[in-house]
Amino acid sequence: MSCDSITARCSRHLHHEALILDEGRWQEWLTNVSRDIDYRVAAENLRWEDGVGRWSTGPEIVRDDYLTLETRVRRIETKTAWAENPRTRTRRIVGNILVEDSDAESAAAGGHDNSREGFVTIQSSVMLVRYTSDRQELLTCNRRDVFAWGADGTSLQLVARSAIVDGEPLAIRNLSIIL
Amino acid sequence: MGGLAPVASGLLDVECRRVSARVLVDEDLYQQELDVLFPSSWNCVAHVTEIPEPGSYVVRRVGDQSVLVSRAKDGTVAVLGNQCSHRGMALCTESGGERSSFECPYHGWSYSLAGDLVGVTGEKHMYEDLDKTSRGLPRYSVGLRWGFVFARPDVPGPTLDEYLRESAWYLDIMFGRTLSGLEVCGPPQRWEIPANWKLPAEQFSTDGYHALRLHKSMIDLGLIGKVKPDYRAASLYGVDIATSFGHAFRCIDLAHSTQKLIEGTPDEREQFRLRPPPGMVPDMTDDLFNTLDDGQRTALLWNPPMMGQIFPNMAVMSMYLPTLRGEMGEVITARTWIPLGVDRTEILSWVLVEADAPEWLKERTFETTIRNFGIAGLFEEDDSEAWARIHKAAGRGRGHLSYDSILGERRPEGWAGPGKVFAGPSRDDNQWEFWLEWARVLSGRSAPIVPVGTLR
Repeated sequence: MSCDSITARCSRHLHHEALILDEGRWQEWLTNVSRDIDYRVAAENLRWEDGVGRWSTGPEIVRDDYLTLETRVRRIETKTAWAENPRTRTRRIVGNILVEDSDAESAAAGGHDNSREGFVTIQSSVMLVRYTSDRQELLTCNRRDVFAWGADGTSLQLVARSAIVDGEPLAIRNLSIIL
Repeated sequence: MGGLAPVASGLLDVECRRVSARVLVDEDLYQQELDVLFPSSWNCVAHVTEIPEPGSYVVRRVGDQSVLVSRAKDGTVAVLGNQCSHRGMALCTESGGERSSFECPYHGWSYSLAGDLVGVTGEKHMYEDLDKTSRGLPRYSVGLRWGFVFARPDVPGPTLDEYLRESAWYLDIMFGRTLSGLEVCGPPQRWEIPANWKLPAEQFSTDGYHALRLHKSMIDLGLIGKVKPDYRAASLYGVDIATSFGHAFRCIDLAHSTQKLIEGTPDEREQFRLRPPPGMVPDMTDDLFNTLDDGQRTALLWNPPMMGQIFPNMAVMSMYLPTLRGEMGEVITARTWIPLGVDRTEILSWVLVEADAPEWLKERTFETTIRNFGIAGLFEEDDSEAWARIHKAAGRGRGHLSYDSILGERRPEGWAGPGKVFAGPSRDDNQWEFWLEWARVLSGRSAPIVPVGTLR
């Protein structure tokens, strides 16, 4: 596969995933999630780190595995999870999609091992607006995902997601959605 | 009761035990809270383990005032107004870090970590005779207990020990179990809810009733109160405690959860080893015989304080909660409800672990806590929704909040803890005490404490 076609496939997958999540099809989303998923969301912690020249990332606000994610989905389906009953509506724009170089040198520098057979690491930025009954909330984040290519060579399964949400404090009443 | 201004002005109806929804939305009342209530209270601003070294600091708030919580050169903790004494500019706009001094970017006045003015740019050219000693940063009174840093403007009032008085008995059980004490597990979560700060404060003071319905999803999933409809298993029953200065605790009878683990074991040391308190392993439990007295240990074994609210805006939790895999887990957190406006509140929430706990237990405590309480907590997601909905429904102050389910003081036989004791289903007694204290403070804190039951 050429580089461009990998990027195109990855972009298409992320855009499709965004649609599934915006439409609240959470069970369907789970079918594309690995049983070994490592799903994390961290918030910013506004302490400047001189050594690396950037703000530090703060507390993890989500550290989930498959069981936890599945529990979140099941909880919303109980109809007594009031944060999502009535459901909030989201509109997310996924952009700045960067498929990380898969040559061994940059993989070693970047931490994630893209040289592993069948995996691809993708960075993206998400702008998400959530509508509750009385207001809209804005959330932006950077995501670094690892996907596994399916046996057919075209489908992708989420193996790891690490999202860093911008802003401290976060201007959202809760995070009862999946990023 | 006529002496309490909010009662006199009809905000609290002591006959019907109702609170006008105006208390949630009225700008004048909010200003009084900023002017009177927060400055006359001890405000929790940090935990000492957030600022471990001289030069470490975090930026927090006391009411609407930004403060620097700083570890000075001599290791003491200072809480300083984050406002230059020259032209009033904020010295720090970040959340924290390390510095050797605080320098104002505007004209360059600089302050030591203890708040003394130590440098004035071009002093000889600009001033004939500047008295630097009188131009330091506003310095707050500081009190430390269980590693928490409490601050209050430097005004006359009760010491922190006097302020916590009977509450210390319960807080010792929650946060004073080990000789090494607690530490924070990373920086706190911080997020904003569209609701007045008193809504979470009132709920944590200590509404056991709401769990049955607001958290019904957790019951439906079998994660709590597995037998339906068992009001005891769903933790409606317990012992609610109200203490001086408006603090509240909720002690929950473990008979319906983990008690079977220690029943039939007569020896107290062995009981603690069989079922260590939340966040501890068996080898750590010997500390309990140095840190707690007999009555506190008995409460910890059978009926421990699991959540509470320190007036005005700090809440605490230390409780068992199974992990999603059904193993024993624990939630240990402290948080503050920081007013950002009459209709906006920041929640600043720490996860705490025992410093001596093994890494795997610290990890489990962190995971169990953030999965249940916090911005993405399976419980708290719905709490923040409730607070937002109540605030929205209040509009410009229509309607009221009712607290007329009264239990009255009931002290179980052998209960060693101080305070007003309400044993039984969690009714409105404790929460009404929160509102009485709020009314008392807005009346200047000189009004007498009115015992529950003699309101008429």
